[in-house]
Order: sequence, then structure tokens, then C-alpha cells
Amino acid sequence: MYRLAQLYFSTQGESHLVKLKSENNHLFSLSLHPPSSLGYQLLKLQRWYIIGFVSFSDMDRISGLSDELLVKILLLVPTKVAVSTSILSKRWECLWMWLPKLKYDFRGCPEPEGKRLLLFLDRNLPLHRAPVIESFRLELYGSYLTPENVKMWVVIALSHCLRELDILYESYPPSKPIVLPSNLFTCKSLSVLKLDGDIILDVPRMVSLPSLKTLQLQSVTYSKDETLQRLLYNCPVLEDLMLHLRDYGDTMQKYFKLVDDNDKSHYCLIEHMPNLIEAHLDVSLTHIKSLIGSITSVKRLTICSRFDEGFVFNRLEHLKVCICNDHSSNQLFRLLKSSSILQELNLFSMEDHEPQGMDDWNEPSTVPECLLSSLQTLSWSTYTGEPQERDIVVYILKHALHLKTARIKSYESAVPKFDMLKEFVCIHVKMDRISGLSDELLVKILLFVPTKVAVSTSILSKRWEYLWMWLPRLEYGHKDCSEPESKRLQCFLDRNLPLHRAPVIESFHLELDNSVFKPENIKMCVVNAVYHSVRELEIVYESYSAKPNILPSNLYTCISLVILKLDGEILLDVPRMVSLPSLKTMKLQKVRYFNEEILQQLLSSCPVLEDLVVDLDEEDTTRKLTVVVPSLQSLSLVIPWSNDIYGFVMDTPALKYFKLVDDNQKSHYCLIEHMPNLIEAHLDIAFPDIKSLIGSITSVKRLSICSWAMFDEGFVFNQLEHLKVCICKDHSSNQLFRLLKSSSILQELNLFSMEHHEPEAMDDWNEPSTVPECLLSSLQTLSWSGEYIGEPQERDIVVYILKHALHLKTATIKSYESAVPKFDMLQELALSSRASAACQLMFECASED
Amino acid sequence: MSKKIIFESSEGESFEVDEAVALECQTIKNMIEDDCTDGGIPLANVNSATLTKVIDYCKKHVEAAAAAEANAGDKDIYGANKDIELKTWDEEFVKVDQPLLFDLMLAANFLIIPGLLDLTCKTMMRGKTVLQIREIFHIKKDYTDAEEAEVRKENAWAFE
Repeated sequence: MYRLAQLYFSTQGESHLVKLKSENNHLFSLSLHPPSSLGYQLLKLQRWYIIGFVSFSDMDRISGLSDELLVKILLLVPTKVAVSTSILSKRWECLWMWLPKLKYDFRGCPEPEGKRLLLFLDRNLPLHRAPVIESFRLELYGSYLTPENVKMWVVIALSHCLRELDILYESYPPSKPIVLPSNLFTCKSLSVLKLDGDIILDVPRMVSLPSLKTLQLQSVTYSKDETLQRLLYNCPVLEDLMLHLRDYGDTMQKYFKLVDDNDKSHYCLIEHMPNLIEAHLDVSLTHIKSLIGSITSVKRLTICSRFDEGFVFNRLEHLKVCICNDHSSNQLFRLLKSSSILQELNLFSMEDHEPQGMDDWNEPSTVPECLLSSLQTLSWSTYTGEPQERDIVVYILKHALHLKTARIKSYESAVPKFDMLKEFVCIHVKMDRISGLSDELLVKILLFVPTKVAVSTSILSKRWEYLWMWLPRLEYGHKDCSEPESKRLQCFLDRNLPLHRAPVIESFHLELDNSVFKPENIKMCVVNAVYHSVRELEIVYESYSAKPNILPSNLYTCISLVILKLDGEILLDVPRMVSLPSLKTMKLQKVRYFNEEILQQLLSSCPVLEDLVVDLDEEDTTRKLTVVVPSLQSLSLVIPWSNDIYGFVMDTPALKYFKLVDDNQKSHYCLIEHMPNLIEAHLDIAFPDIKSLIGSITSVKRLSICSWAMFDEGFVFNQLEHLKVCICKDHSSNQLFRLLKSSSILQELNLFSMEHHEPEAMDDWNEPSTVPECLLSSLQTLSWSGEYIGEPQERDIVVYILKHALHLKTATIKSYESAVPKFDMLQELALSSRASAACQLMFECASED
Repeated sequence: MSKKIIFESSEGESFEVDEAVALECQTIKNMIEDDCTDGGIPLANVNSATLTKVIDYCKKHVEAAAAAEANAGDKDIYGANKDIELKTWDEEFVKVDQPLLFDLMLAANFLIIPGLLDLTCKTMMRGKTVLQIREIFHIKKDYTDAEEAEVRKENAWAFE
């Protein structure tokens, strides 16, 4: 028996090589190939491992190890092999999702495999479980890769406290450069950043990389001249910097600015930049030979740094030297010696550089060449008159043969400015009180204006620049968003949403109506909202593109989500592990379901869902609707006529409100469990067999109904108090009386037309042989709010109720203006006999528009 | 006769209100619970004009709550009982000049009257553009032109 000490894994061409080393240095090796039977090979690996680790047993002891240990083992194999272990057994299914190091390589794989990898990442990366991703490496190549895909992966990796990001990207012609997400530049945990290839660095105004120690940028493109400077300026602990600038084609580097306040020694591998024209260096490095060596081609140089002799700046014409250091004077003369054609010399202090007293300087043994031949202008912008300063000026004046102007600027500290200042302050009598309020209060005020106005306050002043980023409720877009506006919105969201500062986004509302937004753009927004623990998410999306998949898979595992409203061509495709533990309200209007089971799968993962709206699209092909949700209190189902649905299965024992609009006339089954707590129901149904449905809703207190099928006698609604009957059908009058018979304690009856229902003439009705119980004992209110037009059938109903309802208090008849001239008709009703002496009869007249 | 609470404004003026009205302010409620309201409550950062308005607001809302309780039977099953009258009153209440509105908001924030705080915050910038906001609140630009251009560019969507 051997105890395992070390395990090696290497990949050589097609095969993987495993080496196990035991404590007493016995070496086992095993080669795994070909990769097509990886599952099997891993089983083999498993056995080897056991041999090394404990015994020669064939038992699966490895699955019994702790997650932690198994993840450690998986870390030793390539990510791809680690993922393939998910098929070993259920124990292994999600283990790889705890991997803290991920490496995906698109370069080594053929296109079909690469495409699979892309889909894999899109679906699984948002679900990754490791709280910390220590390193995330991507080697990218392929025409099918879009910059949006990569951006989203990076956003996701960043959200896992990413330590190391390493991207190698060979753009596939035509060039599709990757723009990195803006929150990369505010990542607190990032310690190593290595970028190589067709990548655009676009650094936002707000940038802070407090942990970045290693930065390697090769062949990347900088969006602006000051990009690199801004980036470096905000890396306080940077130790290792490698810049490899592109020097070909039209992306020639002509300007270079480096500010590095870190005085630890770090190495700079900077390739020579033969086209560099201007450089700005503010560095406190001690070994800057490599740096200086690569910028010798400049025409203009601004510098605050140590400088070694030996370099030749044979094109340098304009030199600005910061004189904040004690060694600045000596530095200056070294620079002068190296710059033989210098025309202009400027001595100044860089912003935020506090000048210290300069050392005495050693007058150079030989006069620098440029003084004798080329220097024309000398200027000193912060002259204080110290002896060392004076000496420098005197020396130059004495030796510069071609000097035309020497300008010395100084501060007049002696001038009595006090009176002037006082006068100045008096001009500002109008005080800015609002900027003095607390952030909290200001954000509260911003909450009440449209998000767009809130964002625009960023230009008020620096105090306001990022205030809106604390807004917990965000609303973007609207129905009539023009294309240029959408485009701007897309850029805006892309850049700013990752930087949003509010720890929790209470509500996120996005309404889009054109194709400017790619599905990936929206996905990215949702990913960011999920990272901000979104509570309410609402998306209205009309797309013309063929790929409406805009929801990232981690939305389906969002712990914080309470309200989800989706409207439009949005594809619902639920991953295997789905869990929405807080979701209470879900509204799905016209969305697309990936398959028949999706809705059911989604519902079964919402343990506290209370309110559900499912509104099927006209092109939807769902055949069976299954709603089994024990917690559900309110359910609304809308099925268009064009949907040939087979039936419903419903088990919702806690339901209080139920709405069913089903315009399909074909027969379909309803397996509906009894709903004993149902209080209100709204039915607008066209299918023939309604027995099962009606039987399950008999506990209601309020009911609105319009049904093609005739209501069977025999049901008893013994709690029904408020009844609304739609009178659009020819059989409505008979339907009405059957309902009245079944409702013995009815108090209020309303006759109306449901929205979009065109009333047809009613059949003559057969006066019931016995008067319904409710008329004799309970009915208090009758109202006719649909268009009462005084047809005989209508009149008969009203007359009958007036005649028999003993306890009627009010009868209200609403009619349209055009019908009113039939004064007789009204009189007819007014004069008809009333069983209840207290009954008030009222006519209301609505104008037709 | 209900218990009275005495407020003292920054000018030293005294205002006597019913305890129920004072309880609308969370800050005062805590003080009453801690029993440290004897001899009046000095409100050094609320002036008389503001305090008068604040008391008006609290009174109205106490009355409205009492009335709503009396009519509780009229609620439908969802408990929706929209008090349109009170909303209209609120709208009228905040039709005041900017400095007073500002003071009201600060008072609501200090005294913790959530309804009044929401109401004043809502009114503060409602329907205004950023230029109007700068004008009304006298906010001085401290960006350089280049910086402002940069901010405008980053948030271009909001400035079309």
C-alpha cells in the first residue's frame, strides 16, 4: 500500500498523462487517451488514485471524499476534464462548479467544439458556485465568438471576487475587438490582469484597482490617449508592469504617458516604440533603463523621474522637467546632455508634486551641446528664488548661445489680497443648500424623478457625479424609443450598469422596442441586476431578431428575486438547477417557452409563489398547461383562440383569485383540483365542457362569467354574493337564470359586457317555473352596465327581477345616449311593478365615446 | 381630554399639540415612550413657519386615519381604499415656495415623518430638467469644460 504524496497531470497532444507519486517516491504513471472516452478514462484515473491513496480496493472511495478535497483534485486536471466528471454520478454533477480556477481554450479546438464551448459558457458560467474565482483564463479565437459573449463572461467572473484575469484574444478577421466591461476597472479583488490581443481598454472616469499587483498589456488598444495613465494612476500597489505596445498599422503609438507612484522595484518590459512622438513620465522607479530606452524617439518629453546617463534623445525638441526632487538639478543636466537638438526647456512642478529643496548641483565639466547650438526658449513656471534655482538659471543664461526668451514665473505672496477676496465671496449670496444634504436624502429625492433626469444631474457638479449610481430603482427605455436613443441607451447601460453602486437594486425595469439591443446586451443588463440582488425585474421586449434568448441562466437561481414580469418575445429556457426561493409574483406575457415542460419546471421551483399570470402568445404551441403550486393565491391564464390547447392540470389549493380567459373553442380537459379558499373568479371561456371547472370554483364570493357553454344546473354557489354576467351571447338570459338559481345568498347582480365582447341579440327566455331563492331573500342591488338598449328580452329580465326581488334596494340601468330617446322604454320600466317598495330605480346615461 | 405635547421652534415660540398628532413623528414618538417630553421639546433646527406647516400636516393625517378607520367596512376584498381626498390635500399642502419646501423636507427628515418626507422629496425636483435644477438650487459647476464634456459623453443617453 502506498500513500499518495503528489499527483501530476499533463496534456500531451491528444492524450492526458497522469503521474502519481507516493510518499516513498514510487512513481505511477497512466496515460489517458483518446479524449472521446473521458468519462471512462476518469474512472480509470479514479482507480489509480485510490491505489495511490489508500488501498487496492475497487470500491468507489473517492466519491465519499469531502467536496473540498474533490475540488482540489479536480483543480489538478484541465477545466474541460473537470467538467466532464459531471457525468460520473449525481455526486459529481455540480462539483466542478466549485472550481476556483477556470481556463477555457478556444484556440486549440475546431469550430464545432468551440461553438459548444461558447454555449456551455453562456449557460453555465452564470451558475458557477465557487464564491471566489482565483483565476479566469480565456484563450479566444473563432469567428463565432462575439465581443458581447466575452464581456459577459468577464462580468460574471468579476462577480466572484476574481483575483486573476488572463485573456488572450486572436481576433478572427474582420477584427471584432473586445471591449472589457467597465466594472473590471473597479474590481477590488483583482490582483493580476493580463491582456493580450485585440482588446480595447476603455477606462471609465471612476477607476480603482486597489489590489492590482501585476499588469501585463500586450498589443491592446487604448481608447484614448490618457487611458493608460488613468489606469496606472489608480493602481496604488502595482508591482509588476509589462507593456507591449502595438507599433504597426494605423494604431501606431505616438503618445505615451506613465504615472507610477509606487517606489518598489518592478520590472518593465517595454518594447521599443519607434514612432513615439510624445511621452509623459511620472515614475518613482529606481531601475528605469528599460523604460527610458524605449522612448528615445520622442520629440516632446515631460518627465519626473530618475534618469541615467547614456541615452540619446536625438529628436527631442521640447523638454519639460519637473523640479520637485532633491536630485532634480542633476537630473536636468543629464537630460540636457542627452538632448542635442533641444529647442525649448520648461522647468515646472507636476500637479500634486510638492517641490522639495534641491541639492546643490555640480556644475557640469562640459557645457551640454544643446545650449551651444539649439536652445531658444527657457521658461520656469514655479520659481521661488532659492540659490540652487538661481544657479541653474544663471548657468543657462551664461552658456545658451541661441537663447531668445527666458521667462521666469513666480508667486506674489506678499500682495494683500484679503479685501479682494472678501468682495469676491459677497457675489455668491445665493446659497447652494441642496448639495449640502446627505447622500441618502439626495438619492431619495432623485428616486422621484425619471431615471434619465436623475442621471443627467451628474453634470451639475462633482458632488452629483455618481449620486445617481446609488439609485435602488432603475427604469430604462420606453415604448417609443427611437433608434438613436436606443443606441445611446445601450452604450450607457453597457458602461454604467456594471459600475452601479447601490448594493441592492429594488426594481429594474427595461422596455425595448427595436433591434438595436442585441440579446447579449440585455442579458448583460440582467446579469448585472442579478448581481445587485434585484428584487423586481420587469422586461418588455419586442424583438425582430431570431434569437430572443435574453435571460442569463443565473436569473433562475436568483435568491433575491420577488417579482418577475416578462412581456414579449423572450425565451424561457430553464437550467437544470433552478431555484427562486423568494419569488412571489410572476407575470409571463407572450413569452416563448423552450419546450412544454419549462413552465412547469419553473413553477415547481418557486416555493412561495403567490401571484401568477400566464398570457400565451398567439403563435404559442403549448398544448398542456400545468399549474401545481401549493402557495399560489392568484392565478390568471389567458389562452388565445389560435392556441389548440389540449387541457389544463391545476392543483392550487390556496388559490383566492382565479382568472381564465380561454378563447379556444375546441374541447379540452380540465383537471382542476378543488380550490376551497377561492374568493373571486373571472371566467371568459369558449370550450364546451365546463363541468369540472365550475365544480372546482363553487366556493367563490365574487364571480364574473361569460361562457359559450351552458352552465349545468345542479351546482350550488352557497357563498356567492356578487355576480357579474356577461350578456353578449344569445343564451345569456337563460344562463343568467340558471346562475341565479344556484346562488341562494346573492346580494348584487351586475349585467355587463366583457371587454371586446360584441353583444348579440339574446334568445327569448323561458320564465322560470319557480322564482330563484336569492330574489326572494337576499338580492339588494341590480345593475345593468352593459349597453341596455331596451330590447324585449332585456326588458323582460329587468321587469322579472323588479317584480320578484323582495329586498331590492337599488336598480341601476346604464344606457348610451343614442338609446335614450326611447323614453317609453324607460317609462315602461319605471312603471313596472316592484316587489320591494324601498327599491330605487336609477337610469344613467353615458356618452358614446 | 387627550395629553398635550409642547414643541418649541428655533425662534422660541411654543406650539401645543395633541399627543396623537405628535406621535406622527417617529422621533417624538420615541421621546414620548422614553418619557422625556416634560417641559416641552425644543426643536432648534425647525423654525416657526415650518413647524406650523408640519403640525398642519400631522393633524390632517391623524384625522384622515381616524376617518378611514371608521369607514373600514367599505373596503373591498383587496383592502384597497384609495383616499383621493387626502392625496389632493397633500398636493395642495406642498404648493409652497422652494425655501419652505426645503425646510419642510429637512424637518420631516429630522422628525422622521415618512409620509411628509416622501411628499417633499417627490415635489423637490418633479418635472424639472437638469438646467432648471441647477437654476433653482443654485448648484455651481465645479467641472472644467473638459471634465464636463467627459461626463456628458459617459452618460450621453441622458443628455439628448
